[in-house]
Formats: sequence, C-alpha cells, structure tokens
Amino acid sequence: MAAWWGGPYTADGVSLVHKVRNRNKLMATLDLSNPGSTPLFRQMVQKSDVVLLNFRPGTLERWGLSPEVLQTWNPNLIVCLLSAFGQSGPYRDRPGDGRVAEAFAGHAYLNGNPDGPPLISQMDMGGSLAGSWSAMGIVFALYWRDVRGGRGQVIDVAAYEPMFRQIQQHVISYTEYGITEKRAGNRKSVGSPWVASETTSDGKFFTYSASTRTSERDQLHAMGLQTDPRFADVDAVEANAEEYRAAAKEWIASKSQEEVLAAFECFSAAGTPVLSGADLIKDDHILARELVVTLDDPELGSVRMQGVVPKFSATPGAVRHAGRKLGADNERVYRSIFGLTAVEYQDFQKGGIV
Amino acid sequence: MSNVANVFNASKASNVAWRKWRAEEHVDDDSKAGADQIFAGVRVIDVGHVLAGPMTSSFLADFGADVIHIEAPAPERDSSDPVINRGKRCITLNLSRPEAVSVFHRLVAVSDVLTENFRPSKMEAWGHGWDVLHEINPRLVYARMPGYGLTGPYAHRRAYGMIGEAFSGWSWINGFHDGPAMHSSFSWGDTLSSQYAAMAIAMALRWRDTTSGKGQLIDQGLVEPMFRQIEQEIIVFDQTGQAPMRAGTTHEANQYADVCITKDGEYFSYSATTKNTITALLKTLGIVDQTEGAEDFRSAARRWFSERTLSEVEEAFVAGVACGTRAMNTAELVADPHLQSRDMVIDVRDATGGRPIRMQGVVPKFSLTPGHVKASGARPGQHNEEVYGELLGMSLDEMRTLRRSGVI
Repeated sequence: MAAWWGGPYTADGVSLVHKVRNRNKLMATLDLSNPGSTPLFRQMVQKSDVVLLNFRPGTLERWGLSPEVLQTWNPNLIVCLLSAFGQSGPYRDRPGDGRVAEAFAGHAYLNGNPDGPPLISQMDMGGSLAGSWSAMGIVFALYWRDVRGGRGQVIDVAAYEPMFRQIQQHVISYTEYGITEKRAGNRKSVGSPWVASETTSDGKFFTYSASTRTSERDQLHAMGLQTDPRFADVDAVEANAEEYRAAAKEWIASKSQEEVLAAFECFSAAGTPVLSGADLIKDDHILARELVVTLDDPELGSVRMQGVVPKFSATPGAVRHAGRKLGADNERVYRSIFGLTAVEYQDFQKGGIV
Repeated sequence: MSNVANVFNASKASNVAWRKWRAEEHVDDDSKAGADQIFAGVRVIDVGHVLAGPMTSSFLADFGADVIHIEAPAPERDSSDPVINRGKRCITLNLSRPEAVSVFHRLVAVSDVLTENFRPSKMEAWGHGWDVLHEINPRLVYARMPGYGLTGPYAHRRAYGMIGEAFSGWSWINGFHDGPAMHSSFSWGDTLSSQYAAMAIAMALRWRDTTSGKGQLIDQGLVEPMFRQIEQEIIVFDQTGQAPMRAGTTHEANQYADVCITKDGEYFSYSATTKNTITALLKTLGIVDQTEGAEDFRSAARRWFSERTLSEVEEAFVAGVACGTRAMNTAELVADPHLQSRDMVIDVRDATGGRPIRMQGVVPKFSLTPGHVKASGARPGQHNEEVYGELLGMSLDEMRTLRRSGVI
C-alpha cells in the first residue's frame, strides 16, 4: 500500500522509475481513505503475511487502520511502516522525502567540495535505502515469525535512519575523536593520500583507492611513482602525501582512461573508470553478470533495466515483467486471489473503492 | 500521541533529557537485552576485512546473531572498529597458515553463516572453496562479496567501496553538471553491499529453515547493490538515449529541489515531488506563479533563503508543513532531540573495559524484537579462549601451541 508517485523521468508520458520499482508486482488500486474499503482491506490483510505502508504517521489511525487494528485482524501480520521521521519523536509529523532524508541523516554535509555547498546526487539515496532496509526488516521479521516461533510485529522505518546507521564513522569520530566530519570532495574525509578521483587526458574520470599496505604498494607501482625518491615506498608516500596526490593527478592527466586502467590492471591495483548509465548498459562485465535484463512491456515495447542482485546458488530470482499500469491487475487480485464474486467486485468498482 | 508511537515508546528507557543521558547512567538500552532476539542461536563467522564483510555481520549482531569475527593475529585496524565490530566475539586466526585449515573447518562445522569480502580465489587458495565448506556443513549459508562478483571478466579486479561508487554509476550522477564526477565521504558502496548481504543471508536462512534444510552460496559483487539501487540509470538511457547526469545541488528532472544558502551562511535542502508538497513549498516561499520555468523558480527560492537566517527558514518550513531540512552535521545529529527520542545515538559498553562508547542505535525499530548492542568491538583475539576452548573444545595446550606458532 503506497501513496502514488511515479518519479520524475518519463518517456511518452510513461514513468520510467515506476517500470523498475514496481516490476514483478500485481498492480491493484484501493482507496483506503474511503471507509467502504475497510471490509475488503480486512479480507486482504487476513490472507497476507506482510503489509507495507508509507503514509504520514497518524493517517492510518485517522482511517481506523492502525497497526493494532490490522493485527487484531491477523496476529501473524508483519506491518512495516515507512515514514520520513518515524512513528515517534518530535519530528514525526514533518513531511519528508528521500532528499530530505539524505540531508537530515548527515550525508549531504559529507558530499561536495570543502568550499562549496552540500550536494545531493540524482538518485533517491535516502528513499531507496529506506526501501531496502524495509525489505531487510521484513525478512528478519518473517524469519523470527516462521523459524523462531514468533508472531507478527510492527517495524518502524524512518527514512533517514538507515543512512545514519550506515555512515559508520558518523558518531564515533565526533564523540571519541572530537571530529565533525566535513565534505572533502574526491579525496574523501579519510585524510589518506591513497584515495581520489581524477580527470584523464581524454576528459574522462578515474577513481583509485587503497587501504592496506599491499594495495597501497600496488597503486604506487601501477603509476610507476616509486622511482621518485619522495615516493620510494608506502611510508615515504605517507610522509609526502600532498606531493603524492599532485603527482598522481598529473600522471592520470597524462594518460587516457584506457591507459590508466591498463596500468592499474597490470599491478592488480584498485581503480576504475567512472561509468555512466550509457557506459554500464554495454559494459562486458555487467552483461556477463546478467545485471541488465531486457523485457517486453506493453507500454514501452522492449525495455532494459537492472537484473537481480544478489545471485543465490539455489534460489535465483528473476524479473518476469516491468511495472504495469495502476490497477492493471485489479480483476486478478480481487476476484482470483481474494475471491470476490463478480457482483461484489462490481459494487466496489461502482463505489470508486477499487 | 498515537497508539503506534506508544508501542515504541513503551519499550524504551528513554525520554530522559540529553543532559541526563550520561555515560555512567545509561549504558545502551539494557531494557532490550532481555527481549527475544531474531537471530538468537544463529552463529555467523565473519572473516571479512574493512568494511563490507564486517558491516554485514554487524547488522545481524544487532539482532542477536552470535557473530565470530576472525582477524589475523596482528590485524590492521580501523578507528570505526568499535562500531563495525559491535556485539561480536573477536578471535584471531591466520588463514594463510596450513595449521589454520582444520581449525577453520571446525568453526564452519558448528556455524550457520559465513561472510567474507576477499577476492574470488583467495578462500580457495587457503583450502576453503564452496565445495569443501558445503561438504563439511551442508546447511552453511555462505555470503561472498568480492569486488565484482565471482564471475565475469573483471572478477579478478580488486575493489573497495569507493571503486564501487565509481563503477556503479553513482559518482557519475554526483557533483556539479560542469564539474567532475564526485565521491562523498560516506562509504556508501561498502555499507550498501553489507545491507544487501545481511538481507540475503536472512532470506537464505529462512529458505533453509522453513523449506529445504539446505545452505547455499550467495555471490554478490560489492559494486552490484549500488548498481541495482540507482533505479533510473539503465532504463532512462535505454528509453531516452540520455544517461542521468549530475546536477549539483538540484535535480535534473525535478525543478522543486535544491540546497540553498541562508543569510547566516548555513545550508538548507528542500524538495517537493507531489501536488501537496509542491503547494506547501510555494506557499512557504511566497512564490505564487511557478509557470516561468525551473531556473526562475530556483533563483526566486535562492533569493528567499538568502534573505533569512537558518532559524527563520526552519520556522517557516515547520509552520508551512513544507519538506526540507538543514544539512545536518554529526555534532548537530548527536545533539538532536528527535534522534535522542528515537534512541538513534546510544552509549555502548566498552568491550575492552573502558568508558562507554557513543555510537548509532539499532535500525530499524521492531516492536517485539527490538535488537540490542551487547558491547563495542572487542580487541583482536579477546574471545579466543571462549571460542576455541568452550565452543570447539580445544585444550589449553593446543591453544598455546597455535598461539606460539602465530596461527592464532
């Protein structure tokens, strides 16, 4: 059950993100704000394992559909409530979306150049993390219910919290070391000479990174900078960090992206071209991993999107179809799955409930 | 306050003012220690190195898994280790030594899950290929996170989180339109990979324990979760011929999104995507006519912010129920009343006997199985005797021999 938003990218008026986000799903419509929908919703809840809702806190209560009510209908039901700031706390009533989550969780502050504004990427990081953490929470709750003899329960996901939890150095660097981390551009805030992203001679970008002595040595050798006495070994580089950064920048600027990659490959050093959607859709490795799938869609025709992640040896997933139109599966959902008679179904249709 | 909120408040030891939230008075939320744990009785071996592997098991440890973190006898450690290894038992084992093979296999035999993030051939070289481990323990769920996955032309390449951010297309869509692709200071690649792996492990455990009785292998390239997560990047190029492109503080396809500087030099992020939130935003900013295009709207909005202090902006957004927030930094987050009331910052018992360590709380919030952080990350080898002695039944002599020869 989700409030509807198709996302900003379209082709011929068709929301593209919807095609990815709602793939493999049956699309049904139901007006929960209409009290006439309650008997039907109750029937659905009784036959389901999980209900995922992303309404503003308080909305469900207003409709008489609080988690407590849903769980009296089905004690084994897992209710996942996804909201901007969570179901409790002083900001619970504030509106929010993925970008707000990203800035509130402290990520925007860490993203950008030191002398510039906080940046926000083009993907919905906050919203998508809230989604993937909800999925994880649901699987955890199903495990507890079905394997450990638990029952249904309520999961409260505040959109900013997954990101706040994932920024692993967030709190400890401040409370233990007194550091308020700041954005540091392509050097990251780790203060290490071994990580950066630079421009190649053909105007493309190359990112390199190392965090163990072995990988640092491999990086140094890939760029051949160990012949310079200032960078004779890993310790010398640490002692001349700024000079090393400048030398690396210059070395990368003197070579094409392909040449830089070849040198890094040769020494097994960690580095990669920065890729765009246009690069990825034809990348050999992405294709070999079956990470792009092609589907036939009634609205768009042939359409490509991401494959399934991760790969399970015994239970691989599959993408069967792209997201369908709102209500495309109403008949199947209400008649075949939830067993409404033709008359009942028509009554709900006429009442504007489905 | 609604019933829903009460469900969560009831299970909290909180609602105390931050002043009283002193380390000596509040060590973690011990009220949660007695609650049922989702993964009680599930044993996880984590032989990963910073960051994706250990973070995966950290998410499982928060919910009661018995995680045994294996490191080399003199490991390189990270300042975030108290967080990354929280709630785990830490033992040492030098996997590259032949004597370690049988020790490791004994651990695998009594465990449910193994996670690691080495390059594809490393475990095989040490004698721990999937076929070997699967035979030792057919119920083992083995989650591998090499940089690019186990197969494909780049499988041999080395990768860290930052490489994943560049390879997956994320950096390309981050930064200014006319500037270079950019990284942030968040280890986004590693930690998203951890989150997917933790989810995949739970999926595999449920399949094992409700359906098949069998373990399985999970093959997840560190770069792949990010690639999957950026929903628009493949389909938008496929359908429009134009790959999504970075747009600085704004969004290339949504005019109502920006990060603006206030009169007192602070940054505020606003955004609106639905009819309701757009109306609330326009009303709050006092901009009536939005028909003149994105650039005009953004300039007018930037002017509005530049004429107001951060606190005036915050007040206006709260009053207008518009969608926006200051770009929070760590100091602000740690002191924020909302995070405090959500138990998002907790003090955790220091496993090494020092004073409690402040870190992130447990995410997400479950009503019946709230999760719990037993202690911060332990010293390398701190639990050697517990694990080798009590769990594997090794004699003190055997342990001494292994220690002297540098195996543990």
